Formats: sequence, structure tokens, C-alpha cells
Amino acid sequence: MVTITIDGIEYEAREGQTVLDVAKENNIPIPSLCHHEALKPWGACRMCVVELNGKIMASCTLPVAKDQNIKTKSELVKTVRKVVLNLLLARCPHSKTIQQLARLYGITKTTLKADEGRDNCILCNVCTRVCAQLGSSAIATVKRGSEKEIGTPFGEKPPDCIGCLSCARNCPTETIKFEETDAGRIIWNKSFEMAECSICKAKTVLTKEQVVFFAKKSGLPEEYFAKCDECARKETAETFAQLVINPGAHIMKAWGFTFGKLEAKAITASPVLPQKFERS
Amino acid sequence: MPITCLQCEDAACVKACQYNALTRNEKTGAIELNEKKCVKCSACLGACPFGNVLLENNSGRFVKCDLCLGEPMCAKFCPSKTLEYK
Repeated sequence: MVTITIDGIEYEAREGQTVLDVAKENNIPIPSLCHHEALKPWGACRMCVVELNGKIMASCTLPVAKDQNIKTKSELVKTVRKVVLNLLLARCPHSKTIQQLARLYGITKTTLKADEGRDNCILCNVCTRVCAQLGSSAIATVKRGSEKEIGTPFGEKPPDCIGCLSCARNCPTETIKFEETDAGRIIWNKSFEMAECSICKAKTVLTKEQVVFFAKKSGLPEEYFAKCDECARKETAETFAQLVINPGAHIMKAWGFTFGKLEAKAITASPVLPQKFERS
Repeated sequence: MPITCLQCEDAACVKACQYNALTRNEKTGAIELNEKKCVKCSACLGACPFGNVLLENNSGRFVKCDLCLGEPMCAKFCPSKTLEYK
């Protein structure tokens, strides 16, 4: 354990934590765009900057150390965050996330030339990192310099995309577009069909690609994923009902005895004894 | 029959999550979903063979029973006390 000071108050921190982790744990407001708790720190957006010994550091990549004295509200921090927001507003003037954040720092319009033709991507790489951690790595940054953007291999339909929508659902500026209907999804110009429930044949919430990928990744059987949750719950309820009516059934079955299936309604009537034993 | 999370010992949802968002609370024994770490990939929902991870339609959040951090409200409010928590 180490003790660090944030805005004049001492906090206990575990070794290996970053300053942003400690701040979040103690409800100290530090804005961030590229930070996601499931992912490794990236340090791209520079919104989470704090002051340490007169220097500006990104708190998401700053490991805690003994006797650190962090300032999150100093004039220097505010100035740097304003500069960052001014630049971000110039890059994507129509992003609601950026506009809201800028308003908190008293900026309503960028002093620079606003780039009207661009989408709202701020190159925070949350989408590519989420995708990489899942293990598909279907998207990446493409091109370099001022043309840098998030894209698919050669601008074509990404072969490794499984249509899980994690990239779109975690985008801080909601830039990644997708279409979703009951029958399927379209994202990155690739169409996906939803998998069918193996019992009721209704569409599940996973795409066919997701079923195959998740099963392979987790080492679980594909049948687990190709079943809708309603059918799964129904099956569980039936199993429980059978256990209540005839607690020994599964043991008898394991020993090689089989019964006729008992009706669940028997639970309200007089107890029903197993009708017949058959050695299978 | 109301069916809720069985808090499996060798849980499929935990195996499926690639982001360590599902962890066991050693105090209550329940598997809890850390919403901040969840990226909403639907792997846990698909993995649960009992259908006990749910997708909230309005908010798009994934939810599962976490035993209300040790004080299950279902048992507390059950009028006939059919539901018990021991």
C-alpha cells in the first residue's frame, strides 16, 4: 500500500494502480475518453491530465508512487484540458460527447477551423482494443498522419468480424454505425445472420459467427450459445420440477433405471410414486 | 417456477468473459458483473446454459443475480416467505 495525495487529501492506493484508478475509486472527477476499465491504459485522449510536481501527466498511465502530490483542479490542468478540448472540437464539432465535455470547461465553439467533413472519431482506439482483447482484431487504425482512421483490412468487409457490436457499443462518441433487425445485423458493411435457438427456432441475440467464436474461445460447447435464454430457463425449471417431484430420479437414471416422465402438475395433487421400473 | 442465477462453481459465464468483468464475491459467494468492465459483447448471455444472464432492453445493460450484495431483495419482499436466504 502507498499513500498518495490528490488535491490535498491523502488516499490509500495499492501498488500497480494508476492515479486515475485511485481517483475513480474515491469519486474524484477526472474526465477521460479513451479509458475503459476492461482494457489496458492507452493514454491517447489526454483528457485525464493531472499535475505532478509542476508537470502535466496523463493520469491513466501514471502509476502510483510513494508521496505523490497530484493536483486535478489546478489552473495548469484546466488550461491543458481546454487546449485538448479545443482541438477535439475542431476535429469533430458535431460530437455530442465532446460538446458536453467542452461546455464543462466553458468552451462552446472551437477557436480553430472546424473540420466539417469528418465523422466524430477521435482515434481513442477503444474499438480496436476491445476487438483485440476479445481475440478477433477485425479492425485497426489505417493510414497515417492526418488521414489516420479506424478501418477494416484494405477497406473491405472484415473477415474476422463476428458482429458482436462491442466496438460500436463502447465508442465514446458513438461514431461506429450499425443496423440491427431481429433477423440480422450490418456493421462495417458486413451482414450477419442471427443464430437460431436450437429448441424454439426463434432468433437469439447472437450472430452465427458469435456462436462459433465464443464457443471456441471459451472452450464451452456450441449448444450452450445456440439456445435462447427463455428456452434455457424453461429447461432449468423443468429439471428443478423433476427434482422436487422425484428427487432420486437422476441417481436412478445414472444406475440404469428409467421412468416415465412425471407431470409437473402432480406437485399440487397427492404424491405420485414412480409407476414402473425398467432395467435399460 | 422462478429461476435465478445458480452461482455455478465452474461458471460458463466467467469462462466466456474475456474482460474479467465477471468475478466471484468471496463474501457472498455470488458471481458479480462489473458493469464498468463489461463491453457488452453478449458472450456471457450466450454461455449461461440456464439462461440466467439477461439483457435489459431499455438500457442495453447485461444483468445477472448478484444476491443483492448479500441481502437478496426477492427473499426480503416475498410476502409468503416462500423464498428464503440462508
